[in-house]
Amino acid sequence: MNKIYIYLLFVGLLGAMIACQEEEIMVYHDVDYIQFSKAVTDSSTCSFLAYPNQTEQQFPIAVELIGMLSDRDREYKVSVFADYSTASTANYRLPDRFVLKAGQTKDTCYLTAIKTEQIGRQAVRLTLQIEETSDFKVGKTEKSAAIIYISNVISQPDWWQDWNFEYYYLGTYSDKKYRTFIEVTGVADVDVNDTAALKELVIIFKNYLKQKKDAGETIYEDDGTEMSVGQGFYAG
Amino acid sequence: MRTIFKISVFCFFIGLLTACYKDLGNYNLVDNNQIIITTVAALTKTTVPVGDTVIIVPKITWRYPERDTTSAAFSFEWQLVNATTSDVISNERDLKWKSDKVGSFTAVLLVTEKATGVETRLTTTVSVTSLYSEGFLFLSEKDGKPILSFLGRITTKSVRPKEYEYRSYVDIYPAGNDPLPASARLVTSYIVGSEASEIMLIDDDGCWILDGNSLEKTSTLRNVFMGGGYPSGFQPQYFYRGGAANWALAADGNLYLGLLNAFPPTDWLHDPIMQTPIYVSGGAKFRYLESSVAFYDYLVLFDELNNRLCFFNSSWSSVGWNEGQALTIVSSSTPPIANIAHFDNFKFLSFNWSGSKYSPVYSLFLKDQNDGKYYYYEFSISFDYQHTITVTGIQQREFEGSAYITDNTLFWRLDNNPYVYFAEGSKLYFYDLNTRAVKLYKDFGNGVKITQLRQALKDINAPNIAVVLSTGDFYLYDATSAAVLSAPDPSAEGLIYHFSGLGTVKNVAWKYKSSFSYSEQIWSDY
Repeated sequence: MNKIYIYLLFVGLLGAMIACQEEEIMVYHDVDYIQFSKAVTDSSTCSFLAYPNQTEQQFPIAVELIGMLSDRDREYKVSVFADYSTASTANYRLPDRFVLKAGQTKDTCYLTAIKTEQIGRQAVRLTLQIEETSDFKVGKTEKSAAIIYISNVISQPDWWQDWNFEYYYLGTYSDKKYRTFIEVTGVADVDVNDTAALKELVIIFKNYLKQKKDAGETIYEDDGTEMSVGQGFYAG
Repeated sequence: MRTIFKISVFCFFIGLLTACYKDLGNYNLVDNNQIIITTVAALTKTTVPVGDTVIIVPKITWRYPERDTTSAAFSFEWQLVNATTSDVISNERDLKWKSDKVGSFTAVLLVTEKATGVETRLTTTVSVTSLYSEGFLFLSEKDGKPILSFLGRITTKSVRPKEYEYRSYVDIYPAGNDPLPASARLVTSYIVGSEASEIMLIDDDGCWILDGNSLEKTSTLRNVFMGGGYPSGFQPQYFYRGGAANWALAADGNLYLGLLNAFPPTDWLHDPIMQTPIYVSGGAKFRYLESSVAFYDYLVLFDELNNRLCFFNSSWSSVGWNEGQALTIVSSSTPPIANIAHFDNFKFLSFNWSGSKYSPVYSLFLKDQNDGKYYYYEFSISFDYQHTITVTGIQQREFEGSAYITDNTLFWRLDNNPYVYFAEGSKLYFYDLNTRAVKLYKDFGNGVKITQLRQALKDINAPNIAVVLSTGDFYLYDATSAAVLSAPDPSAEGLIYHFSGLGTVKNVAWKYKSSFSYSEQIWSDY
C-alpha cells in the first residue's frame, strides 16, 4: 500500500514538473543556397535573329540567394550539364566562377553565346546547373538548372505556347510573325512575368503593323490572313 | 512516514475535488435602468472639414423614465479613438469638438448611471476631411509667382436635393516646400483611391504630382514613365487619367499610354507609362482638350493632322480591361452632315461631353470653312466593348447664336440639361437647345474677358456654370433654374458664389475627394 501512495505522489509531481518545462526555440544554422530565378521548365532563347551582324552576344541569366545576406563577396558556380545539352563548347563560353556581391540577394551572370553555322540550321540546347561551392549549397531542385536554346533559326519559343499568351499578347504563332516581331522590337526572348514591358513590346509591334498597313504594305501571314496581335490585347 | 503519505495523497485529491466546485455566487441584483442611445440626425454633424466643429447630439431613452434622467443622475464621457490612441474630449452630454486633424475616427460616448455604476455606450464614426477635398482647384499667377487656390464645396445636406456651402482659399500650397514650378500652366486632378486624389501640375519640365489632401509633392510625371524618365524629346502637353489606362500627351501631339492595375488606380509603380507612343491608323497629332475623359471610360482627342476626333477606350467590360485601345469610328453621316472621323471642310472649334455615364452626349461646335457658318453638332455612341464605336443620334444645326461667336468662343454644354453656355469677350450667353433661343446671362463689362468656362457638378440634373475672368475673379451661377433663366438679368438672380483675388488664372479643374464621391456623382442620375 505504501508503494501505491509513493507511486501516486510521484506521478502527480512528475506531471506538474513536465507541465512547467520550458520549450527551447529551435535555431537554424547558416547554410545559404543559390539558385536560378527561373524554374527549369521555363526555358530561355538566346537568338541571333535580332542581331544579324553580331557573332557573339552576352546572354543574361538571373540567380537569387536563399539564405542570409553577407557582408562579403561570395562565389557561386554554374556549369554545363553535358548529358542534357546538345551545344558544344563551340557554341558558348562560360566563366568558371561568378560572384554574388556583398549585401546582394540577386545577381546576373552572363553566358557568351557564339554564332556558328550549326545554330543557323538548328537550335542547340544548353543546360546549365548550379554547383555547390564553399559559400553556397544548391537551392531548390526545380531552380537548380536552366535550359537555354542558342539559335539563329526561327522556332516557336516555349513562352509563346501558352493559350493566354496567344490571346492576350501576340496572337497565333507563326515563324513569320516571330521573325517580324524580333526584327521590329530587337527582342527574341520575353519575360512573361514583366507584363508592363511585355505590353510595350506588343505596342511597338502593333504600331508597326498599323504603319505598314497605312503605307499600303500590309503584312500578311503565309495563309493570306492579315498579321495581327492577340484578340485580347486591348491596348494601343 | 505512512501518515505523511496519507495526508499528502488526501490533500492532492481534495485539491482535485475543489477544482470541480461550482461557484453559485453571491450577487446584489441591480434593477438596470437600461438606456438606449441613438443620435438626433438633424442636429448631428459627423463629417466636417478640418477646423470645423463635430456635433453629436445623443438621443437617450430609459427603461424607467420616471427616475432621475437629468445629468445629475448620469455622467458622460466622450472618447475619440483611432488606431493607436484614445482621448477623452468631452464630459458634456452633447459633443461639440473642434476637429484639428484630418482622418477617420471613432467617437465613443460612455453614459454611466451614477447610482448603479452601469455603463452604456454609443459608438459612431467621425470623418474629418481636408479643406481641399472637393471643389474647384485654380492654378494662377499672382505677384509674380504661381499659386494654387481652392473653392471648396462642403455638403451641408446630404439628403437629396443636396445642399452645399462654398469656402474659398487663396494660395493653399504649403509654405516651406519647394516653390511651385514657374512654368506650370495647367492643373488636373484625379482620384487614386477610395479616399484619395492627386493633383498634377503640367509644366515644361517634370510635371509635379501632389497629394490631393496635403498638397505635398509625391512624385512627377517624369518619374512614372518606364525607366523613370521621359522618352527622348518628350515635352509634356497634358495628362489624362482613365479607368483602365492613363495617357501622357506630348507637345508634339504624340500620345503615350500607361496601363492601370486597378480602379481606382492606386499604384504608379505598377502603372508606368510606356516609352513608345501609340500609333493610330492614319497617323495623328493630338491636341489638348479640357473635357476629354468621359467618366473614366473614354479619352477623346482632336487629331489636328487628320481633322478628326479619336476615341480611346479605358473602360472595364465583360471581356476585360480596355487598356486605352484606339477605337475605329463607324459613322454613317454624309455631307452636309459632318463626320467626326473626318471633318473635311468643317473646322473643329470645341468639344465637351455631357449627360450620364451610360448615355453620354458629345457636343461640338464646327465652322463650315466654305461659307463661314457655325454649327452646333451632337452625337452619342454605342460600342462593342472591343474595337469599334458606332456614332448614333447625330444632330447638326446651324447655330442660332452665330452672330455672337467667333472661332475662339468658349462653349460648355451642361449635363442632362438643354443648355449650352458660351462666352465671347466679356459676355456670357446661354443657348436653349429646345427653343433655340440665345440669351445674355451676364456682361462683365469693358476690358474684362472670360477666360474659362466650367461646369460645377451639383446633383447631376442641376449643374452650375463656373466663369473665370481675366481680372482674377471667379463666379458660380445657377445655370438651370427656370426662375433664374427667365429673369431680365439672370446673373443677379443666379449668383451662387463670387471668388476674387485669384491673380491671372491659367487653369481651373474640378477636384473630386474620393472614388466614393466620384461614384456618387456619376450614379446620381440613376
